[in-house]
Amino acid sequence: MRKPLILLLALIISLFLTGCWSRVELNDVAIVTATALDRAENNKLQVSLQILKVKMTKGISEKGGGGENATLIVSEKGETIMEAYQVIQKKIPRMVIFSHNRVIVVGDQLARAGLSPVLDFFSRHREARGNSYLLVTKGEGKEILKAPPNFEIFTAEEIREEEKARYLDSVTFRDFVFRLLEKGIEPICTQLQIVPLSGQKNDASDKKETGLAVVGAGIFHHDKLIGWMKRQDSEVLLWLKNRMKRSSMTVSMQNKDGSTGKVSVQLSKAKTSIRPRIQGEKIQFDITMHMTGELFENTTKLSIKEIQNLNKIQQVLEQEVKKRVTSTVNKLKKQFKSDAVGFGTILHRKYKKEWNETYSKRWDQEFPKIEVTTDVQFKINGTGRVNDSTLWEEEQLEK
Amino acid sequence: MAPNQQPDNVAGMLNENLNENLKQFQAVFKNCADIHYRQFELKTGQQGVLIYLSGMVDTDAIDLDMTRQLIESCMTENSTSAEDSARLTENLQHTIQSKLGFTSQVNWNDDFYSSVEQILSGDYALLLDGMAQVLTINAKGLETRAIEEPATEAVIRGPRDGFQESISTNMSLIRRRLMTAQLKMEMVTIGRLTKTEIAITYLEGNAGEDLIAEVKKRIGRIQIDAILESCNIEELIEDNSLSPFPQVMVTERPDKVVGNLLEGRVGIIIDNTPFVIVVPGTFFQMLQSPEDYYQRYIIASAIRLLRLLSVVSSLLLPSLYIALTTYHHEMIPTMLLISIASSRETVPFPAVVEALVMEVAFEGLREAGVRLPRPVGQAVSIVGALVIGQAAVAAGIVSSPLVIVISMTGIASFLFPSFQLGLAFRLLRFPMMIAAATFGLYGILMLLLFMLLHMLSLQSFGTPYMTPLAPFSRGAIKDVITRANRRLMLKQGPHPSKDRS
Amino acid sequence: MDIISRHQLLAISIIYQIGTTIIFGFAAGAGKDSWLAVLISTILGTTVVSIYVSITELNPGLTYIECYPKQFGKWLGTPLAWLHPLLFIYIAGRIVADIHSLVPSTILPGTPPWAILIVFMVVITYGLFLGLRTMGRLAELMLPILGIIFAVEVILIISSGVLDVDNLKPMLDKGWDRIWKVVWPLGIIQSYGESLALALVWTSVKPKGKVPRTMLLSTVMAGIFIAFTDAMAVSAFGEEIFKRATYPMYALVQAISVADFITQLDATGVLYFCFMAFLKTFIYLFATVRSLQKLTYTKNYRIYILPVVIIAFVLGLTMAPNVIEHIAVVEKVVPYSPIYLSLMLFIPIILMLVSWIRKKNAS
Repeated sequence: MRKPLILLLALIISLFLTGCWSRVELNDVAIVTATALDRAENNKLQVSLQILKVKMTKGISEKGGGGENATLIVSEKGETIMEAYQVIQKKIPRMVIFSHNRVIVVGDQLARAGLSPVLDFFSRHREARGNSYLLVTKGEGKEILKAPPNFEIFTAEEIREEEKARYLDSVTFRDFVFRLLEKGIEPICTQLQIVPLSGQKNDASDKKETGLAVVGAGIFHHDKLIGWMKRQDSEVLLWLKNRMKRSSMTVSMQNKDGSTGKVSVQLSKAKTSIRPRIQGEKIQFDITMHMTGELFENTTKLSIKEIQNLNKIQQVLEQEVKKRVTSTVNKLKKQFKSDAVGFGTILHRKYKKEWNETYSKRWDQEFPKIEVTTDVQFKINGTGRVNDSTLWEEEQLEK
Repeated sequence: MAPNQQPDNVAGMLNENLNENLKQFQAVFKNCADIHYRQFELKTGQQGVLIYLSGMVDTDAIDLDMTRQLIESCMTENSTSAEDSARLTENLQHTIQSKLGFTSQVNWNDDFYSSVEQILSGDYALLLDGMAQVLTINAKGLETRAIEEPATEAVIRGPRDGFQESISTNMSLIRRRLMTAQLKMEMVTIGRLTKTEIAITYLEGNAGEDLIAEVKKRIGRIQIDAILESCNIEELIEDNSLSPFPQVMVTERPDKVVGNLLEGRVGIIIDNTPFVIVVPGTFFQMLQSPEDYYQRYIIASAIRLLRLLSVVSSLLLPSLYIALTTYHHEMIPTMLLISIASSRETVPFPAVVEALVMEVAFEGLREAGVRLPRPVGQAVSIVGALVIGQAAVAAGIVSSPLVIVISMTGIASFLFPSFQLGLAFRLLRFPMMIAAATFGLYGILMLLLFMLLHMLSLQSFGTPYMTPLAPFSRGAIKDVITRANRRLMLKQGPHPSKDRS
Repeated sequence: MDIISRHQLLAISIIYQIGTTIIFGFAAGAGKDSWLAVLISTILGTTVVSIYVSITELNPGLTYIECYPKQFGKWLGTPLAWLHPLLFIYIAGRIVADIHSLVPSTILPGTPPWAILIVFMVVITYGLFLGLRTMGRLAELMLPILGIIFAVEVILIISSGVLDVDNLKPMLDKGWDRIWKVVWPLGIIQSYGESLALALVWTSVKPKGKVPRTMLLSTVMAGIFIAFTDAMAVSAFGEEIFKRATYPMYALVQAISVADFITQLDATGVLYFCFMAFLKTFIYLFATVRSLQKLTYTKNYRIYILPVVIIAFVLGLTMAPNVIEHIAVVEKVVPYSPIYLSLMLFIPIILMLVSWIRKKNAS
């Protein structure tokens, strides 16, 4: 009994001594923080990697590396991502690792041509992570990577933080693939652009400060980008998908004397339920929304102390939400003909037989024909630190 | 040198001639500077000799009690001086027995060798002319230190007395906590030269018969010249001597021994060492401190959880660091990875070498701190802190995250209540680091499985080492991971020490 | 002799029955309804397991292997019995091949598979030498730990917000067809039919009477566990990705992201798998060794350990050139092969009937 044990131990020890096959020291890795994919001429792909120059980050807390950028943008063209990636690897003395790549930016030309070919690499690669954010941009994705960071040490981190806050629907790589494969829902992507931090784009000031901002959403049909949606509409998408974290809304209201004032609320909750109904040939969706918000600004003369005034504001807000939802759904139906909300999946869950038999195959044709009704209930649950507006005298307020 | 030399000319029996007897003793104790002969004469004119080892007997007892008793007894003998020697001896025996026996333990001995052994064990011997017997009187007066707080197991709240080197004191420390006749202490002498006294102590009824028999059997089996410390016994009675894990518990605290006796374990007290062995030793028992029972149970439970955490981290932290930084970069959060990477940027060694060097340096410092005299020990720690903590990082030879990891490991390894167990984990950390360097997390898992298999196969005196977790025992479990309330524990019977699967 | 307690048997068989499905997914072919398929297989699986249990109950004191010669006679029973160690070692080789394909491709790229397997086999050999009792204790110790880790992972996954229970709806989307397809025979053979190897452990359990109840309990618990993880994977990825992933459960662990700090825990998923595979391989090899010992009437089973381990090692190393072929064989060929079906299902039924009739006649 003892002898084989000792032999085994000897074997183990000798084995451990030979090892370290796949060891990669941290000194020998090049951490990819963001990837940009663009379409190049001759149907080629242009892969750009934002790679962290670790030595530049030395002493993050200390004064930064003399204004120098801590990242390096390397880009290369190739037939496939792998091919380009191999060329990039040859340019860099360290091993490129993808496991911390949290942002994938796709240029609109490539997105319009179809994303499927590039998605395969990221779903297959051992290091690629499914929770990387997928974004599209008007123009070249590479340019986005080049933008200098303002707060973090590299822009990928800034993009990630912005996505995480979910001002607009954030889409991870996994979400995108899920929507792409699932019938009855079409993928979307957040749109990321470089924007000036202050003033107009063509401001003449000599030193223009720019930042990265999520400005809207790219709407896809299958894997192809077909159009852009503005900020307001993409916010509605968030509401409809029950994914809103925080948002705000402003409506204008007429005072009794004819002047107009504005009311701004911060939305704290938006709960949406969508119920499908099949009536003969017609498919109808009833959207019920329950929203709550807090009053943040009130420049009207309405006194919020009065219940009926508050109700009035709530009514106006409800109208506004209804308007926005209808307009967004109409855009999806008419302009894009793309079911970005996933009405199809909702229908599938309720009417699986009808869906499997008829609709699943021709949802693209059916979707523009659907009818949507919206019912909104808005509740204001807070009015901030003051209740009545401090702008007006007591007697001017409408009671 | 042949031990226990016996001169050839000495016969085994004593005779009535004082001088011949004395010669026998002098031959045996040749060149023993610490043996003393004190000759005296009784009023009857009878010659006598006292033989004793200085420093081993209580000289006050000799000077005061002994002489006074003898003189008093002889005064009564004086009137009947004419009687023959046999009668005299008989009388003397009687009076000494009745009077001297009151103050100390007295034996009549007619065997020479056994009286020699008595003298060596600290008795003093009285030879009288005309008697073929030796009177040995127990008046042991060993120099001992005072009862102090144990150095290795201090507590905040709890009794502060600790064992010391004298076995009789140690036995009394236990006895005063268990004033019951159920507490048994069986004496054995082991060691051909050291003649060390060993007391096997247990609570009758609580400890299993099998266990007691097994302990006696294993101790009886010991054939050795010298016992210097409890470790000598430990190595001879433990089940698996190839294992790095301690399989008996060693403690300096009487309350801990008593607690374990109550749970049905057996204590082995060894003369000349303050460390008492408790068997069977199990893993979780060694992770317990007596103080757990002296603090409020919620807090004590939290401390036990902390301790479990520290066991795991003292074993795994450096190897996890190696595995994560060289194999599984993706598991480290991005920003943390960047800050580790940037501080590793100038380090010329692979992470394993870096960690191994630092660990060895740390263990070296620790060892130096223990062995060196206290003032120098402080100097060592200053040097260590400066050289390792500051200079190495500043010079970019070692990365600062690693220093943090090593110090956290160090702190974790200080949390072991049992020093012996802590040593085992300190040692196992190194193969773990090599496994991590070779196979990453997979290597850690496999070595951990190997280690667990070994620990689970260990038995200590018939009790599985990892009990009560595996084999699982529902009754005892609440007192392992956490410390259950006393009220809950009242339901728990004596500790099961029988062999279960 | 090695004795294990009822609690240890429970731990061993839960871990064993969950086994490698923890990473490969189970009944993925049923898509959204995979959890339902698992539950149905579990119900059928319990009957299979109870057949095995009743055979050993009808032949008290004999291991499962010894029942064949006893009931079928020497000439028919012995060759049948000899098929079992071969089957066991083949399946053990399959699991070793799992390790062979999974570990290098996920957490240790570039490390030669033989090195990974040698480490694995060395630990298994050590376990075999220490015997069933130690392994029982290991299972018993690890089960709560695995349970806690699993619970933590579930909480992490839920708090990552990747779960969408709506993905499970609608139930029975494509009807019962695809459920039956995965239930029979794959669902029954995988996990439950494979409990055959556990039959050689049952004779070591003390106290005796509790084996049937323990086995049923473990089967049900393992079934619920697998169904739960399947449901979780579907609601995280949706049906399509779940069906397409090579290692769906592995991807599930990968989806964890809490506050963007605890992320990419995939390596822990692989470790989970390695441990499960470790115990499963151990049981198979133990069953092999034990049956060889019974069939050759040897006193000391230890002499078979090294040869058996080496055979399993070579099998695992050479069995499948790549993951696809390996999984294809496991899912499409093995369950339908007549040897599998008859050894795990048909012959045990006959054996049970024969034992039952004989016993009735005798009394």
